[in-house]
Amino acid sequence: MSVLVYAIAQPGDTPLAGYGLEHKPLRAIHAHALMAIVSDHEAAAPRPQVESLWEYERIVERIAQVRAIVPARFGSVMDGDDAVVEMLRSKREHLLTVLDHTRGAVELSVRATWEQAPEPEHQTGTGYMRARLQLRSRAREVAGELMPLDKLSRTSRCKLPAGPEQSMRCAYLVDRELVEDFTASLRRLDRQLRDVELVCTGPWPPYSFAEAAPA
Amino acid sequence: MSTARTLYASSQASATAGGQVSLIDVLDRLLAGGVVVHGHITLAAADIDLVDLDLEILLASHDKVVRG
Repeated sequence: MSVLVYAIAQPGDTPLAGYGLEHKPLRAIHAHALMAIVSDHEAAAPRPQVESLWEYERIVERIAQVRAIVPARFGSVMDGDDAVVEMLRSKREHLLTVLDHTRGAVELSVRATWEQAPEPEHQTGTGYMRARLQLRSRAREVAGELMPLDKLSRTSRCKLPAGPEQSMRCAYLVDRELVEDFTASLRRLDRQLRDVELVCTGPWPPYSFAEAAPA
Repeated sequence: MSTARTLYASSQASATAGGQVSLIDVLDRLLAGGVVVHGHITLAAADIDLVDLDLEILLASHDKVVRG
């Protein structure tokens, strides 16, 4: 029987309860001082539809309410318990490192969007290039002005903007008790930044800090 | 039934967009984040690039995110 993996944790005192996708009961597979939280699953991986993604997210959040976890990527179907045990063995060091690094923290997402969408330049190629360069250099300045957020987080990870209308998108790993300080700091920075709109979402389980080694 | 979870937004307009943003954020995290356990991941690498790059455009008109 295939299993769907939701998260990895260290065994603790809190018993595991509740249901996974398709209302299958959650259970733990213990091995190598770790536990994988799974539900039995028919062979095919779940389809990444909006509804099932949000349901998965709520399941992972419930699991994370009472324990530190490394969330698994959506659609992590494995060929039975033995495969999970082998995964726990082979990834043990990495999983323990991530658990240590993220325990007690949540992930917050910050996106900056230009207040006025950059106008497409229909003039000359040079004009277009100049506009793009100005935008890039301003994006770097915005990133600099948001540096105080880094001080409030254990670590952060930024990706290239998804399009020219965005200046940046970053994930911050923030201690639970500092979330309010973080949003307060964001509000202060926002008043100084005239040309961008900021949106912060969260708290999320530490998805963006689960795979790469902590910096 | 996307849960709105905007912690902060610059303006009313961006707050309204917040629901959309948090859906983009959930996709970014669940499909491109999380630990890869070497199972059969639904999405091929190409699809994840798609998710990263063209998400906003996809979301504007589609309910289903990616064809499963």
